[in-house]
Amino acid sequence: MNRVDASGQKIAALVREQDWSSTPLGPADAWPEALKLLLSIMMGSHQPMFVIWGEDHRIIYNEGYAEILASKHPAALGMPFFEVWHEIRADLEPIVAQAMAGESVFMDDIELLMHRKGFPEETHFSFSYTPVRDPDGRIVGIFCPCVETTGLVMSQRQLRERERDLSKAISIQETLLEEKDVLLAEVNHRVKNSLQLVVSALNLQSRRIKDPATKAAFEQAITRVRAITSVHERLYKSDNPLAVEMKTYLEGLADDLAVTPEMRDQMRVEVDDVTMGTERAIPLAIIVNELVTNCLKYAYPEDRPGPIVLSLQKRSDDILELAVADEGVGMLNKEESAGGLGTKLVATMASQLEAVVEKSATQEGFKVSIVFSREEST
Amino acid sequence: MTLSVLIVEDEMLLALDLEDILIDAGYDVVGNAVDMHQAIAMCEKHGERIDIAIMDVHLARGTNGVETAKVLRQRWDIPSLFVSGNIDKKMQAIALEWEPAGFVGKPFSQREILKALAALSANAT
Repeated sequence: MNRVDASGQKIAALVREQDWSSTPLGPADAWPEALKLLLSIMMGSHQPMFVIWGEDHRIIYNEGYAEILASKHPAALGMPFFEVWHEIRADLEPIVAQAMAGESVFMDDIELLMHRKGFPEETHFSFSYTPVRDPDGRIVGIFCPCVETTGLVMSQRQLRERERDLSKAISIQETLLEEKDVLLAEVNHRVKNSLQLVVSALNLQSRRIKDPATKAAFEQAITRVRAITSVHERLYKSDNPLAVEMKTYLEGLADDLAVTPEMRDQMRVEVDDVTMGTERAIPLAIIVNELVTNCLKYAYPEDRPGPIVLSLQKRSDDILELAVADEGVGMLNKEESAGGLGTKLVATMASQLEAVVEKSATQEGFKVSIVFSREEST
Repeated sequence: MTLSVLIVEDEMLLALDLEDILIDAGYDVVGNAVDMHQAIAMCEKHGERIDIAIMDVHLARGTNGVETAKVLRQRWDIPSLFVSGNIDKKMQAIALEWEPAGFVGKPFSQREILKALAALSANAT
């Protein structure tokens, strides 16, 4: 408060000290009461204000307006208004004319190209020009409180520019993310193609093998590579290039593994709606491949085919249970005698999944279940 | 009747595998083309004795199987059995205009290919 009063007094002193007698306003002592009252209100106010008075529109202002005038102050005090603001005269003349004709003018935001700090500068103002009348009702001056809004306008503009930049950056990022997904899908496609070439090369070799045992071993190796291949095939066909939708995948794998349509008919695939990342889907694919192949080979004597159930079910949000079950003579004992690689692969892949393997003989037949968490533990 | 097959596939190892499967199953393989240009050239030579083309959708040198199938059907009345992992709906609709012999997913399984060809043989006889 002290500062306002002190600065108000400073300008008031400047007004007092000026020799007005040589101006159309005449000596200050003889100024009309209306002007004196306005000046006393202005000098006590912190809001930028000025009056223009007399025929050539002399300007008298307070400290707040002195700040707006910048380098034009203090020379501007008592000068004709249009001389002070010669650079924006064209903008101001119609406003002054309107007020002098008796009409109050209010402008919410006017843009003025001022030259007050040694360079042309875009400025923004809100103000009202109010006509001041003498006791006879003639308009003798204009009273104008105003607010400079340049800072506000500029910061709003900056904000809009930042918003524009930001939305541009976001859209670039979205494009990059989409491109990343396209690239990942492309990589999965290529990995799948290369693995498919491996399968073809192994097939070509396998068909030329005469020894039945060697041929069978080769074909078993091929089914393992195919199980991995089809994970990558699923990845590039899905919306998410990092996750496999297990239901479609396991149904497809069952189609692949069943050698005849009759065998496929005996298989039931019961899979919950669950997706898995490649790093877990591949070990699981190998496990399924081994267990289902064993079932198909050993569970049932040729004259007594029976059902095989492949299931992947949620035990909780994170815990999944994969199970392969048959109602036959059992796959486990047979498989052990066949060299044990299948069992070893199942155990190894299960340990990669940090899974618990349970083998059980039920009344109906045999069941192997693998319980594991859907995501890698950290 | 033994069908004569033209393989149109840009991945030659896959084509070789396919040829193996077909010959083992008793089919006659006329040759393997890797793109549209080669497929047309082979048909110009042997068009009359080709019964069916096994057609990949994406071929070498920017050509595609759907366009190739159209030319083969128009000029020599050869149907195509499409083999593709990712034929989209639009492509499939265009392919269907030229009465294809069928669609088989890729990676193809021996069973699927032979089943499709067997069905065609049965119809032809």
